[in-house]
Amino acid sequence: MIISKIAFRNIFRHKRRSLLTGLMMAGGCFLFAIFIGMMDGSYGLLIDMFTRDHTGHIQVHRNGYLDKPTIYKIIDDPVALGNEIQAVENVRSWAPRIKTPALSFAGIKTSGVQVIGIDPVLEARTTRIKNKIDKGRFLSDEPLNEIIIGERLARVLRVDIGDKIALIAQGVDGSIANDLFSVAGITGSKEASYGATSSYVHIQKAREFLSIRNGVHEIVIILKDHERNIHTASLIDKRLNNESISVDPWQTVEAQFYRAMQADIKGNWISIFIFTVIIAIGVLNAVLMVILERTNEFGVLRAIGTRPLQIFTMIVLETVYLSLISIVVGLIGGVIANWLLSVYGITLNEPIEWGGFLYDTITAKITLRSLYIPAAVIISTAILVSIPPGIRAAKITPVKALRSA
Amino acid sequence: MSNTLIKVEKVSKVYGMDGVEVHALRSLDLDIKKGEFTAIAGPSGSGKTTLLNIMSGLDAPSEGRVMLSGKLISEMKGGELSDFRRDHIGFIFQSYNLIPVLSARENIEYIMLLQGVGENERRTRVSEILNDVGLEGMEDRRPAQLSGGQQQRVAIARAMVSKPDIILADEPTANLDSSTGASLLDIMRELNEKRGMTFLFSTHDSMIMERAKRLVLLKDGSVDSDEERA
Ligand SMILES: Nc1ncnc2c1ncn2[C@@H]1O[C@H](COP(=O)(O)OP(=O)(O)OP(=O)(O)O)[C@@H](O)[C@H]1O
Ligand SMILES: [Mg+2]
Repeated sequence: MIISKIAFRNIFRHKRRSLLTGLMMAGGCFLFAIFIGMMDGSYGLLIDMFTRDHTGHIQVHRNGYLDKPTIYKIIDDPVALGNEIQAVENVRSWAPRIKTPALSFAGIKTSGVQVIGIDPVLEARTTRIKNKIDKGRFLSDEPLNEIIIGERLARVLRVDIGDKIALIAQGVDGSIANDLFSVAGITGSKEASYGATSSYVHIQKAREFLSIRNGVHEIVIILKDHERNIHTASLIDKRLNNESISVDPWQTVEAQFYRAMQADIKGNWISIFIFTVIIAIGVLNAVLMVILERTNEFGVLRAIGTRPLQIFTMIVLETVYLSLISIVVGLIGGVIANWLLSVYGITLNEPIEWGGFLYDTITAKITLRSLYIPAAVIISTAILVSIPPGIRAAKITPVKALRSA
Repeated sequence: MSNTLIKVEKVSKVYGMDGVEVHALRSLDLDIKKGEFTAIAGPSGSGKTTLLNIMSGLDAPSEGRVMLSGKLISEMKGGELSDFRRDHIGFIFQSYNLIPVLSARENIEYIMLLQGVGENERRTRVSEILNDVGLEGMEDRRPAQLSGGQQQRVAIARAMVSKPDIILADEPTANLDSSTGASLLDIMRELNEKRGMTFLFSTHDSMIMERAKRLVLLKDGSVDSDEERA
């Protein structure tokens, strides 16, 4: 169509202005792409760390456990449940846990701890606790009086590998639970506050400690694709079909962490919105300038029989074409930047603590979102902003335009 | 409808400006017949541009009516008027004439493209008209690469090529030196004689007036004299 040909060529009439307008759109597109790439990369990493290290993607408890965790809310027959869970699509693995608060003693030092009884074999398949051991080793497969503690706790209790720790808690039968455990491994010297008091013992030992015969408090599930965890949680819930058991995605298990993350993401979108407004104003300004300069030309075009709608189309298309070029340039830059960030990252001098974790690298990820969201934002801004000037140009009456020549 | 192409009946145009009324045209009557080669002359402010604009439907009369090819153009509006102008009237302006981003050929093709004329037909018509206006070999140049006279020749070609009923030109030679202007008029007259195209143009220039077959003189918005010439 001749109208689109004119629109395209018009871009090159004021090269400098088009270049500036285009750079603004390309720059915006580039920034948005990195923004989203970093968001996806960092939150992806964050979620990954959070879920793979601790919570898993989905957790199963007795009803009400999350609101008020007590040692009495026990799930019976965890192996049967686990086999059911394993059969659900998207489930990679599962691991049972026993949990109780306890008091730990080493010499005259004492501290509150969260004792977590784990199945060393299933847990190693499921979470990364095993990989986080900096010193010593992981729990043996057989039930022994061994314990893995965090580096902070080791410092507080002044214990090292091989030292003994006494744990005191209350058993389910009301008895006083107490036992001696020797430190097998120490985890996470890089770790911040989250899970600093988590101490791991063999699940069988935890059962004996709390006088629990068979059940567990928690089943942790890791999925193949964690993005679908909410859906998978409902599938599992359906399959288990047990009123007294609740299946929760990590977003519910760690609601506070999830809300903090959502707030953070919202803040990022607000920044993107503000940037978009700035770009929109810049583009609008350029388009209005075009209209002013070409009034006579539009007058001639109208006089010789061009319809108002065709003039309107010409204006909008010119901006759209420029935005398309800008988007291509911006996205190429964005993809390269995101790729570089994902490969090399930016290492921070001072790690920052967020949600109880320490981060020392800013990373990014090339996601589909990081491409189509910036493109959609820029192109819709371009269209939106060129509509009012387009209407104005379409309304130009040939006589007035020609008189003003 | 005999061979009257444009019938201007009792057309008045009043501009209201700051409370002062300007009577640009006063109950003016004028007939233009098929095949004419007519100049409208008159002092500045006598209403030439206003008359041409009203005849072409670019402007509406305050009173009276204009018929073009049997249609009441003074009553038409919007898209209908746009399409009518596109299909029945050729325009040549004093300046700001061509689309700067299109080559001479594309400028000439523009109206035919809006009309949806097929490619072969377009090609034949363009090469014919390029020959008529003496622009062979320049069809790929942009307007900025052409002289003023050459640009006006492209404008003539553009107006001619869609085969309108009449070509209206408001001071087509005002921006040209007199010899270039005269040769432009010669091209127009040749097209008038060879192809029977009706031309109506306004001018200040007596050399241009001399080339017209009919000369209408305006004064204060009315026809002062109207004479046929050799
Ligand atoms: N938009 C307008 N508003 C007010 N007055 C106008 C307007 N357009 C034209 N006029 C007045 O109408 C009268 C006729 O103007 P017009 O442009 O038709 O004259 P013209 O014969 O074409 O003059 P020129 O030879 O200078 O081009 C003039 O007095 C002019 O000032
Ligand atoms: Mg005039």
